Amino acid sequence: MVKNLNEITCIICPLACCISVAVDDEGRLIEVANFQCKEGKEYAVAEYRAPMRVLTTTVIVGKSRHALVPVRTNRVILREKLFDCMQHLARIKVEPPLMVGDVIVRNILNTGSDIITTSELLD
Amino acid sequence: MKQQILEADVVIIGGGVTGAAIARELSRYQLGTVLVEKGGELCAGQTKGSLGNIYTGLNLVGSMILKSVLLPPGTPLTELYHPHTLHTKWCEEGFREWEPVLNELDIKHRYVPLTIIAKDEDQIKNLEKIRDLGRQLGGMYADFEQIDREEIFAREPNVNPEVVTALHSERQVIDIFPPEVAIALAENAVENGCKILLDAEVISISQNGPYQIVQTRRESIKTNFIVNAACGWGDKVCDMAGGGRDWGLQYRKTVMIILDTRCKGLVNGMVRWPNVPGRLDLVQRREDNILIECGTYDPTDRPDDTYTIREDVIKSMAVAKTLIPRISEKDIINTFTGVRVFNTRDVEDHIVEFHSLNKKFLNVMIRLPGIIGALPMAGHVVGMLQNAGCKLVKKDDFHSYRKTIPRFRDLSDEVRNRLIRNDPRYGHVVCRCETVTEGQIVEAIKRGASTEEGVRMRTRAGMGRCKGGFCGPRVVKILARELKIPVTEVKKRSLDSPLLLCQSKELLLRNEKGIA
Amino acid sequence: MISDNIDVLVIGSGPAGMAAAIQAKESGSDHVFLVERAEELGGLLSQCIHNGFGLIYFNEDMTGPEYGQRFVEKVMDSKIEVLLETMVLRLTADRKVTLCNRNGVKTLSPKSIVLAMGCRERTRESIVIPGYRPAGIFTAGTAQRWVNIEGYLPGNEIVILGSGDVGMIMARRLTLEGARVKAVVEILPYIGGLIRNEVQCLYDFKIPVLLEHTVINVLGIQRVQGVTVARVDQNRNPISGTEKSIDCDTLLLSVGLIPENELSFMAGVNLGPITGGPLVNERMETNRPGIFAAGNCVHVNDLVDNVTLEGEKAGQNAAEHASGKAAPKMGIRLEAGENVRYVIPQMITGEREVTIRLRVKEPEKGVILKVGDIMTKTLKVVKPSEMLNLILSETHLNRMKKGTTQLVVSCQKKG
Repeated sequence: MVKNLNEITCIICPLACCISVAVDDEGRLIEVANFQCKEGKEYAVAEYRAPMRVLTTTVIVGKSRHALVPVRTNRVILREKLFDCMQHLARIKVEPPLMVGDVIVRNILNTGSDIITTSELLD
Repeated sequence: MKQQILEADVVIIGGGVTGAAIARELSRYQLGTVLVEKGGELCAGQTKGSLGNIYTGLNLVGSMILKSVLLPPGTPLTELYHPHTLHTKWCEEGFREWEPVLNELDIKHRYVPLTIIAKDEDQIKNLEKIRDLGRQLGGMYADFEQIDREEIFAREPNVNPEVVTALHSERQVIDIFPPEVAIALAENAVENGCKILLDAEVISISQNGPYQIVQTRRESIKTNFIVNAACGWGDKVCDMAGGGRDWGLQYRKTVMIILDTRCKGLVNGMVRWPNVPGRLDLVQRREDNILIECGTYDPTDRPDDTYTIREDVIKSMAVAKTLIPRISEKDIINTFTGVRVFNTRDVEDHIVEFHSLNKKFLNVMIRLPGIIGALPMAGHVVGMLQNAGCKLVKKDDFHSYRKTIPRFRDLSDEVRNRLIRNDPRYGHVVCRCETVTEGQIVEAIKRGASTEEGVRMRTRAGMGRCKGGFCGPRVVKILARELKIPVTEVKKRSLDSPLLLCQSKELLLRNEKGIA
Repeated sequence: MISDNIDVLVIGSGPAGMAAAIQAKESGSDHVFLVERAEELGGLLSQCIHNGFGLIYFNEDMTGPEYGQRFVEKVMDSKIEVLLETMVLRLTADRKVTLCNRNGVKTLSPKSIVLAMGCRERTRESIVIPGYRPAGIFTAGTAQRWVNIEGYLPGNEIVILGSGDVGMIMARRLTLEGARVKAVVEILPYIGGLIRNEVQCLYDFKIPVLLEHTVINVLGIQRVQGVTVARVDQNRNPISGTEKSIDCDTLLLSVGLIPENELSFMAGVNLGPITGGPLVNERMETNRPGIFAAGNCVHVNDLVDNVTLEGEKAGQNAAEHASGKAAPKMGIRLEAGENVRYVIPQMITGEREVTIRLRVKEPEKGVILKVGDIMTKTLKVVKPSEMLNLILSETHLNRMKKGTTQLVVSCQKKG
């Protein structure tokens, strides 16, 4: 059986274990090694399968003394979708007043995550 | 696009201290004077990197002594004194002339004590030569005392503990900030009618009947006389007016270091080793900072070779520590390199003479020190222009006084409050390290600053330890607002030094459209 | 309304300052002033738009602005007197504070002061990178302000010197905004910041990392055109022959943070030579009575949550001082021992529970942290970039021999 080894650096704690995730040609999990805790093992498998990230960025604000409002995804999204989301958000403009948590884009690019503001902007 | 043509009586090429001093002097007369500067701001060349003290006496004698090794034995030291050279004459007259003018032009200045120390046999021998020549020359050259260890440590407690003897003088060195001197001269010239063109590199000079045409990157100027004060680029400018030049220029670079104001207690004035050929070794108070110039004058082939070499900084710090042992690298807040220009015909003197083929083109090639002699130099230049046919009629409304931009940092709270009541922008401190307010920055822009460096030279914003970390974005935004230009058009110093690339999202939008 | 009957005056409204001001109010101070030089409250939190804040304090993964907003709201609800775009010009040992804003210059005499000025970034000039002085060299934090607050990008092709968290965060930020980060250059043999940032900022975007390298030259006279990098030896000196040029138009510097203490220096507050910040006791009080300090101006922190806790401590004690409550005697000095770079606080009472924070000098695996002979803690790994907290309980303190005036905090390799 062919074993494909993938090394995942764990970020859960400062030990930063280099966890190896071995899969077969069909991508089925064979073995996980070099982890020191359950959380690490779970992280490595999830990270191998589908790395998920929070996107934090800014959106241009019009009619305001501020140039930008900081925003984030309210859920983790697939790492592959980060740039597409950045492109999408580059063409958006919002206006005050804005409260923390206001939804700017619902379910952005079908990721299941909204884009919400992280700062209050009253003017 | 058709180039605009201006008319003038005199065009001065070069906006450093030399050009600015000549501009001010000419502005006393009913003449159309235009100064053209190739940089985006005044002082773009050698003035900016100069050591720039106004001094007399011991430091001059020290330079004279350098040639003593060439003197045949038995020759009196006084042979080293060349009072007939422009350099010596203007240094002597210059110091005296500056004292009232520094006040007239509201230039910040402070007399700092000078202590030339010696600890080993060679240095003591050198020191004694300086002492002896100074005493023999008399006058300002003899205005010093030789002091012993106890007196040295009383005046400069932090010098090398092995020092044996020193020469000390209280009022022979005036600490100034070179760009401030040039800018003050220029501002006064402008107030009195002189016109200054920046970003105006001279491309060609041609004849048009009795007149000359100076073609710059922007306007062209039809003029009677041209004064070449382009210092490091003076040879190229001279050639534009025709060949036959029998002198060239040589350049020497040297590194300077600025230490945090926290160190200011380490030195009260200027402390140096006696002069040695080819190098300078001094540590001095420069405003509230410490300035170190401890190094060799290294040959370079370009007048704009201000490239700072790390090893030079390390060597310089090592020598500085021999003067003041408590100096430390961790206090360095700035390093910069200055270029010193000498002519190849006579390295000891200036060249101030008309072009061999053009009797209305005056070369004013000044070697260091350029600031001390600037006032008598300017008077002499104007005299030469007059002798060459330039009609000089004094203006009755020439005003020799110039008011500085308020130095908020140095003012009492009472005066500060008066300023703020008049203009609340003086209450908005933008540069924390140097305590510079928005009011000052706006005023600097009104007076001609159009770049980050222009604001910095006039207000000190960005010169402190954080080097614009906090004030940088705010200064840039004020420049954009006052000049009514986009933020992306604001430059560091010249047209080809933009600070920021583009607005947010623009790169993403460009990528999406397939634009690289 | 400026009053002359101020209990606590806090200088700086970043996380340390806001926490101190809020806590001072909650501890009973009537008049609390919060002075901020910038246009808005929050300090650097507003420009730290990434997440990772609040995991400890709020048990949530928040962005900087979200974290800051919680405290801004509390400040606004607490009748704290906020002065924005106000600079402190002078501070004296006897607590006279001279403020300056568009309304004028005024000197106040609060009963207590909390220093919360944060830190500044190390500059190109102070680390003497050779070259001309072209436009396009920014410290990472200033670049962060341009990108995240002002809305401008510094350049197109970026090289970042220093792999601390700020540098890595900006590597990701600029990449997401469409720029190309060509390399992160780090002089040490390991990344300077958190592993999470190494993965999510550098590895995710395939940004080349050059460990044991440094920038030995900046190319370009008026604008950056490139940098020269070289490998370094164990003494961190460039190795001749390893030089390599990288074209770029921007150089970002993430080469160190320096606690900002000009006001502390003015007031004669004793500063520690290692931290660069005020020496403090367990009340976060400096050697000047009534002058307290917290946050990055005391020592550079990694987690904002710790900064908030420090700020609260300072605020509470500042309020107590203002109310006239007598200060307990600090009997025990804490010293940094083997492999410990510094310890905060430096003085404790030795009688009540106290949290001490420390950083190690060198990374190490399998260590025992020791506080004198009264407490030990084993750890699997320690790194200089991750600050450690130790709680000295009363039980631990009771183990001290009579007459102890000093405890050495050390980090020793096990076995």
